[in-house]
Amino acid sequence: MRQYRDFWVVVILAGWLGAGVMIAAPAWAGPPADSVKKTIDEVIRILEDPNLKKPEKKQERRKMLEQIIGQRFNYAEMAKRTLTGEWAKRSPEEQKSFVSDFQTMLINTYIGRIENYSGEKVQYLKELVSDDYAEVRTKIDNGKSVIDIDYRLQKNSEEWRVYDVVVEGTSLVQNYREQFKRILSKESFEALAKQLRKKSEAIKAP
Amino acid sequence: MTVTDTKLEMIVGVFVLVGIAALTYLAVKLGKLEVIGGGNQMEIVAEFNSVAGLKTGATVEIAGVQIGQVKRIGLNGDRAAVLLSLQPGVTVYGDAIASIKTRGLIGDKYVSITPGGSEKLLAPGGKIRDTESGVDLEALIGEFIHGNVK
Repeated sequence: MRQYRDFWVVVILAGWLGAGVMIAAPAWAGPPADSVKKTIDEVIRILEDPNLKKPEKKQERRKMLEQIIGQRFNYAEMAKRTLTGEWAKRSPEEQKSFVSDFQTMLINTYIGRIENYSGEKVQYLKELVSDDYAEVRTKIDNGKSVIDIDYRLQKNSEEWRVYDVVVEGTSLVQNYREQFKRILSKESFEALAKQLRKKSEAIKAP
Repeated sequence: MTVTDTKLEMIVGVFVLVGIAALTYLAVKLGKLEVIGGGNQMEIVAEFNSVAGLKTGATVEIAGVQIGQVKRIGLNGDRAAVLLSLQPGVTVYGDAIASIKTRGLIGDKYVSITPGGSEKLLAPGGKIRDTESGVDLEALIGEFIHGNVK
């Protein structure tokens, strides 16, 4: 989980910190790319709002960001995919609790960096759609580095939501899936859930 | 020729045939071809952005255990379409992720699958949607030597 920090920094930085000079999605972009762009645009709007930059507005702004990101990121689907077969064996309460801790861990790790947004450019490169699944390829440019970020989306009742993020060829879901598998096989689901909760509480966003 | 000679020749002939059959079997097994017992293999497809050195015949693993091999590598648009031939009985689900990995750092490329399990079972001919492409070592070295735009 620790090594994934860096990827998520990049992911979030990349995905949510567009620039004043954002390159518009090309004409061929369909609903998936539009969905991603809509969320990124909204996040930037919140980050650039001078009124919300005041220190006393910090909590309110954070809540707004979390809400916007939560609308696009399907944390439940991501958590489910990290658990694979184990998911079906857990009770609804355990599943709900797991998703909640997973979400908290991701948010706590990266919301601080999102808030340090400083004008990165987002390029929308390609959109691949197949039935109810899509992949939106983007590139983030902060002047010094260019990073490839692909968003994998799934359509649920007309709404496209992200279920995986691939940074420089490495999948977020795969990363956690392998870590969780190790813990599940060596210990138990209870141990994994406990460790996830501990981790999500330990990372306190600044 | 006498009957005994014919009989002798027959026996020799049979031995030769047995020898050839044994050698053929050995060659096929060593060469990892599917000619023998290949009928029940399950074939699925996985598309990658880059296969960076993956070869036909490369192993396909789940949890480090070989459960199949790469049957064919082709192009689908600008992506690599890899046909995987898996042993019968291997279960792969819709949320499986296929990754191209390297043995050690500079060894052979192979395909590693985490089979998933939170979605429906993949039928023969199905497609693994989520993949991680191979790392191009030469490109990385090049970037290290010459610097990169990053």
